[in-house]
Amino acid sequence: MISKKLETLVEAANMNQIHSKYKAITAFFPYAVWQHGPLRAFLRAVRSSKQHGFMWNHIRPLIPMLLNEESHLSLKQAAILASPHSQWWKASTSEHSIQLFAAAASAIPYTDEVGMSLVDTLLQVASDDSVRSFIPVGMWSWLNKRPSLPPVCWGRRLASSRDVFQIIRTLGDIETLTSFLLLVWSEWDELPFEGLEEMRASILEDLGGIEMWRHREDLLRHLNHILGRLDSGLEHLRQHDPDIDEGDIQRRKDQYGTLRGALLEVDMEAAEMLLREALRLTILFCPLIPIDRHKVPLDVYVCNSSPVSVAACPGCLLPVDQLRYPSIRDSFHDRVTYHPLVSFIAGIARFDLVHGVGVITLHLPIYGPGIDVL
Amino acid sequence: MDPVSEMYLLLERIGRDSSAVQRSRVSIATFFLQATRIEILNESQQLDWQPDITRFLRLWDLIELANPMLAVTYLDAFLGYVNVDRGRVTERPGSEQGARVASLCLLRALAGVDSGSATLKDIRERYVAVIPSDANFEGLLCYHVINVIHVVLVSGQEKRTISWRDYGPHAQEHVFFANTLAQVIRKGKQGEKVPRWALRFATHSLSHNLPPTSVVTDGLTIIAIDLGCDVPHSGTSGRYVDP
Repeated sequence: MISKKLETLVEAANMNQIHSKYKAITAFFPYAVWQHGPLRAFLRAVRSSKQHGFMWNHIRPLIPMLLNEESHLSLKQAAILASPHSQWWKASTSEHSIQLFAAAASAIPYTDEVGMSLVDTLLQVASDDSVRSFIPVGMWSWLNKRPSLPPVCWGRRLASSRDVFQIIRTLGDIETLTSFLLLVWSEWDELPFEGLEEMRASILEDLGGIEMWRHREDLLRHLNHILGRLDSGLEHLRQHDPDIDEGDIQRRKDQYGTLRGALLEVDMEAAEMLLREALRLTILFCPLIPIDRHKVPLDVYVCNSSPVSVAACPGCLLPVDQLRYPSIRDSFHDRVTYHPLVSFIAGIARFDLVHGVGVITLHLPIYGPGIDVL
Repeated sequence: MDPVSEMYLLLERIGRDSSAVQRSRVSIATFFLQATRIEILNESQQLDWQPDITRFLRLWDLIELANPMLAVTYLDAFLGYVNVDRGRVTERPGSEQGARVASLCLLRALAGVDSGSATLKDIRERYVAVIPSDANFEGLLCYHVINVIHVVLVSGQEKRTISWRDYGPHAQEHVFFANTLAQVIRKGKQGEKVPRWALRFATHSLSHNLPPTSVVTDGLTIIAIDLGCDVPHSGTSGRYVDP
């Protein structure tokens, strides 16, 4: 009866009624954790709300109890799925409760839904000054799963602050930093000014250099997606944020445009560095490989020298347009047109010619200067 | 066999349909209340009171002690067990269990009193003449029960804070109280919000490790009423669990 009622409220999208009944909905939780159907109905109801910490504060002590080592896995999972809506850490600001949460998370099977709740909760905990320091370093690796976060996500909104991002930077792990940015950048949320400035600084300081191309590519693709969504108008965004107006959208466009600009800036610097090195090699390299003006021959194997990740079958041709290095590709289009040495840039490192006369090893400055042609 | 046990056995044998029982409800109720007090006064049985209240609650339905007409009897008994000093309510020495049983009985009886009835008006007048609206019940053995009674009888107390943190009665009493609360909530006006303290009771009860089935039912009933569900009425028979 209660489950059906909750489903009805959610389907009617009657937010006022859901909010006015949050105490009763929350009181249902201790019963719902034991059964799949009621738990689904409960989660649908709480997730449909935009209210931060939707669950009643009287339920908070129950969550750490459910996360306890001796709890059944299904109870731990229920507690984790409800966590983003409960702010249970406010009721027990102790390191032990955060550790219980981490231990429970590692004990239950990972699903995208679980990942979403874990990351949302982690980001909310990180934004809370009183418990932030209790987060074990290993918990940050959850970000690298990069689960899809829902349009209304308090963890994402709160964690885009400068304080939280500074912690991410101090971890010194570019993979985690990239994952964090991919998770908190969203068309659904505006970034706080100081957080935006810190992110821009991080792009310029942490994401420069040739070896960062893959991270920049991921971030640029994500920013292009966000800006595309923001360009598509109000209707899409008003599904979950009825109060949003053109002014809000323009501010978000400016913010994400700023970040995109910073990424392109460091990408361009990396491209120019590569270009300078590549052009210097032209004389040595061009005579050895027959070059089609519009295609780069890839009848070569690319060895495993980091960060090379492209391998090709002998004889196949890869159009320049498919190179995985967007700003370098653009740069070549704009300034050099098709240059055969794009193939080097795609590979960045050492090439073994299969049908060639020998092995060409290309050392870019970051790996140490020198060119060997056998 | 002590007189109280003999009375229990007699009533169980006679049953609710007995005309003698029907005519003598007030006397029986008074007897039970008095008997409870007498037992408590006997130190040797003080630790053993729980099985007796269990028997008492088992007999509750049998002899219809929840009859609204008995509410005044229970109220008078309760008021006789307590002192009131500048708003602070305390039990008279040795009357702790008596006040506890009387308050449970009173609440149960109130659940059956019509909201607009002269009986309820009379009970309210008697109650507020002794208990001030800002009464402090902290420390009473019947803290939770009397707080609920206070909310029911004194207007403007709907948002009164009742702490359930320490509420952990014997299963039998939990069953009885939960069912009584569900009945009190059910009597509320249609469309009216269920008071916060009642939802907190439901949360607290459902959070227990393996609460009795009927407590779960009553907790969910309280929640369902607040959500606007059409909750069918269920009786009290079969709600008691073995201690």
